[in-house]
Amino acid sequence: MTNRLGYGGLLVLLFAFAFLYVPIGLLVAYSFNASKLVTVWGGFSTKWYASLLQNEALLSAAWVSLRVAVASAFIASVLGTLAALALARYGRFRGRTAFAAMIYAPMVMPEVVIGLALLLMFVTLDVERGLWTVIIAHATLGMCFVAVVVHARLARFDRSLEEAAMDLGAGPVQTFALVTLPLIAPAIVAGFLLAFTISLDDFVLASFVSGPGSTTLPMRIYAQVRLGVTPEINALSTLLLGFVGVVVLLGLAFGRLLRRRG
Amino acid sequence: MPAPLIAVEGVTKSYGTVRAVDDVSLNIEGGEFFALLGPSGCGKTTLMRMIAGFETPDAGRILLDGRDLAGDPPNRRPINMMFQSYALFPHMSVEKNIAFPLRRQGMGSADVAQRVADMLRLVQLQGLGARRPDQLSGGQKARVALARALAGRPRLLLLDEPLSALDRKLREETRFELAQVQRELGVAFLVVTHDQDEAMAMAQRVAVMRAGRIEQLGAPRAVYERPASRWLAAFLGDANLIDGVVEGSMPQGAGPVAVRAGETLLSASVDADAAPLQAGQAVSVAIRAERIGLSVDPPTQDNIFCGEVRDIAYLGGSSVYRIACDGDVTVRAARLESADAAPLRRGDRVFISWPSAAARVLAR
Repeated sequence: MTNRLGYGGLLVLLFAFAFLYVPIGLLVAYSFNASKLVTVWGGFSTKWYASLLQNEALLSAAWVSLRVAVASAFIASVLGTLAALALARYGRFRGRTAFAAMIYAPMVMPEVVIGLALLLMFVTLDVERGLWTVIIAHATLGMCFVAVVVHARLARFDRSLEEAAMDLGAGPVQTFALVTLPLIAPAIVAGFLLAFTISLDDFVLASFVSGPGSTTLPMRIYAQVRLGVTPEINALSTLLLGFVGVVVLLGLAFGRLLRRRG
Repeated sequence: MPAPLIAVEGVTKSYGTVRAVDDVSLNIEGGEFFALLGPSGCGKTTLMRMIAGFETPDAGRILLDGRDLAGDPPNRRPINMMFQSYALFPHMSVEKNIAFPLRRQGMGSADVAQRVADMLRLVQLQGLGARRPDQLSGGQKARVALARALAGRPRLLLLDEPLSALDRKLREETRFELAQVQRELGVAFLVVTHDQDEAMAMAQRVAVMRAGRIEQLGAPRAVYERPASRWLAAFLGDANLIDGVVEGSMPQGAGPVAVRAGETLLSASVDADAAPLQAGQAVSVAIRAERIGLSVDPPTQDNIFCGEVRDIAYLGGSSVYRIACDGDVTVRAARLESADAAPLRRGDRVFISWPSAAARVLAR
């Protein structure tokens, strides 16, 4: 038996990749289009990138998104790691299944519902909507993903490593800091990046809970696209793609570094 | 009389309805090599984990130098453990692994480096200090685990099935090395194992555990030669157990006893301190396979039987024969293979014999 693809298999593979990447490729290509008409190729140009730098509204939205993504991913990483530790470490405590279900539920819950629920809560508590309400909303969602990733790592974790640390004189805090944390750090970083990218491209939650002055990039793009797709948006999307790509590569490199280093 | 290093007093531990450790008491002296031997699930690991501080006894006390250890977490006990999985920290080099307990004790850098070098020399791993655990062989990992557990100079070292992850050849070598390290450092060792060779070869005293209780405690030779129960005789080594009843009346004290097993009349010995036997009492006679003599010509001993060779298991240095005696008793006999003895074949008629002292009467 051979593992090589036949011509039929190759065709299916090409088709699948085309399905995934042709629209993105087109978007990137048109961001370098000199023509203002989106569907007409008018030669190569980087002028839309230049004009993007003049667009105050888009730039400020990008800055909001970045701050929200970093802050919410940080909160999500801390809370998600704690939740995963509770799930993996405290044995079969009463209500553990319910706890796990409640941790994971927001992943499958319709975002519209979460958004509406958060909005209702903020209104009820009379919280002024702004940057922090978006951060809280994104942390809520990102936390589930961090918990899943870290829990998967903890499930494969050899408990005798922690016992050995305690046996050799480390207290509970030292054991966590010197043994547990370094070993689950790659999973936490992966969870952080996941939460970060989820926050960066979230549109639904942000639309519900953002207030004046906290318009995120996806919201701004959507608002602008309703008035017609401009090449500027293509350029912005291309930059966004590149940015997320770099973040993911950095995450991979960091994980590998941690695994190699002592 | 000075207090023993470790005194376990009436310790009991249950999981649900199962009594994992049931009212166990034993002492471990300073510098002693002690083995807890038993089949899996007999409670030996639970007992060890209680001494280490990972489990809390439901009842009873564990004392170190006469001081109750209750309430001391594992990191405050001068007791270290070599884990079955070795539990080497994968994100640290060999040196950092060994330095871990020293750093926790707050030792200075120069002293740490010195001690780490000493430990590496002790386990013959000089030059491998910078390696990571995943770059070591199984035998090397075991040595690092040993060095790490001993680096902080514990009063007692617990070893959880220390050699079970090694292949046979390496296991035998490492066994000698463990015993040597123990003698060199004079630290008390408590090894937990299901492998009787391991316990017998290394330990000065062995406690055989069964279902949460200590079945017998003593020097390996005493436990092997004079098992206190039928179960022990079957558990340790290769013993023939022949069920029968005591024939005639029983003289007081030690001496030969006649036991009838079907058509066959056996003569066996009984311990001076054993409970007195009654005529007609159901007993078992235990005879080690290696104590049964095997010959083609009639021997001159107490218990002589004729039989036929049924099966032969050739083991290289020795062979084990299954022999159906005339009557209804089948025994296993082990014989050293030597070049000048004519090899026996299946179906050969042979004589088997054993001295009465080699056969022991055990209550059923």
